[in-house]
Amino acid sequence: MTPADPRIERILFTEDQVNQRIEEVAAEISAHYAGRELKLIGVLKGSVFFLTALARRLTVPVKIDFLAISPFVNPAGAPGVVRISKDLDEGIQGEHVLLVEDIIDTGFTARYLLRNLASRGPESIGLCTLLDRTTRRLAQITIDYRCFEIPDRFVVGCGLDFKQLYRNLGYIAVLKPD
Amino acid sequence: MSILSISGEPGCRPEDLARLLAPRLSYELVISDGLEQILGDSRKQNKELPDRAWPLLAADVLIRRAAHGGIIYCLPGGQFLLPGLPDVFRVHLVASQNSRIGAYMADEGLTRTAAIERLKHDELQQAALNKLRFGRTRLHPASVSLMLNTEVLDTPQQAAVVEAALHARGAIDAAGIGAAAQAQMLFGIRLKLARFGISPPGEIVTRRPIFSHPSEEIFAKLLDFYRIPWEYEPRSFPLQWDSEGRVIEAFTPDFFLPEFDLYVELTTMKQALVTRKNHKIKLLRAIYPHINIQVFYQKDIQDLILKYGDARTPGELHHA
Repeated sequence: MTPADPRIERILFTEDQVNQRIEEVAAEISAHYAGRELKLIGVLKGSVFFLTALARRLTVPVKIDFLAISPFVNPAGAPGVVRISKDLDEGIQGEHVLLVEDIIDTGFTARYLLRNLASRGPESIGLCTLLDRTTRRLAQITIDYRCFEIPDRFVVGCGLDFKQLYRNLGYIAVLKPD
Repeated sequence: MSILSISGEPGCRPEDLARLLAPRLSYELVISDGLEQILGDSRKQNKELPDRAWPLLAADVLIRRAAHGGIIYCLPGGQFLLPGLPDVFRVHLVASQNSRIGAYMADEGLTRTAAIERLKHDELQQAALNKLRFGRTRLHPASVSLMLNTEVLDTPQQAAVVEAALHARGAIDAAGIGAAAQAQMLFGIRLKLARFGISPPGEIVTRRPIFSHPSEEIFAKLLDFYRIPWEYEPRSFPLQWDSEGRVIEAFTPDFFLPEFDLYVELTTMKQALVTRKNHKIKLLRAIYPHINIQVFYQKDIQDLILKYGDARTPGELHHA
């Protein structure tokens, strides 16, 4: 398959490969949470596509909710401190929670969110990611479910963007340098 | 006001608050690792450091540092340090057991059962250490300037409350304590230390980070954004020695992240220089296999900058 956009260098995982892998991971999650209700929490905006695809394949009862964190550089151009800019609509006390990310890179965002969510009294909390780029990992976090481990390249598609573009691609692609 | 104490129950993450407040107030941060390194000199000099001497030596270090400007200290048993000193603004963090268990689950990746055990263990250990060093385990509420519930306030909110409290007291300037007051306090401390046969080391030179490259500053800001504790170039590792045992080559990683026991080296140089640095890192890993080091190359930094939104291009950073 040849990508239509000239800025895309190559396709890393085709749409079929992505769907197949999500299917497999969904089966693992369904088996682990069998007999229980699961709340998927997605991090806006990147995880939306993955969370939706994952949720449709789960066989356990699923609730979904979303949150967003503040950007590193605020509109005034100054770095701030990470905070929840869009919080969950409902509490998670006593629930089985699975945080769903599009990509785990340094692990800083996941670390912050796991700490934040854990303080809200869930029964359990897990982490699931579409992509895992271990080469840049700094924060030591445990990833319970991952679809793909990827090389140290800038990738787009399936929710991952470059300047807000390419999120809607059904495949994972490597962007050309510069 | 020049001395701010941040302490808390296990699982309340007082160091996160201290780490966040230090740059905001332009105070110097003194945390456990840094202090232990300084006290190491005293330990070598005196071999065994009696538990009861620890608070005195720590106080000696803190007061000397406070002469250079405002300090925040976040140390085990810090709530009991410098007792009766009115210049210390004491913040103590508390939370329900459930909330602190959650913190352990998140921070350590523990199950709820394991987190409960770990919390219990840390509480007992901290109490035992406080008993040995300070002769007490319970904190009297009246000795605290400000007590905050971390279940109600997250770290940025705690920081905002502390800043507001300092403003309200008109006590937020980062000026150091006066020379006369310092001399008087040190005299009293050293008199007590003399009973243990301990002479504290000489004047300590504080080192504030002066970044050698803009990418390092951006990386530091990124760590601050996520409230990741860091130290800048805290240690050099000798790599080669001459025949007389003198160090002829050493390597100093840019950052140390104590929470992850991880050194981070940022590299934005040309490929030829990168090769040289890679050789050094390879040597470092061979000589010090227990050291964890992560190298970030120009491309990694470029992607981080792209991801986190700095407007400057890597080229601009490189040539800045």
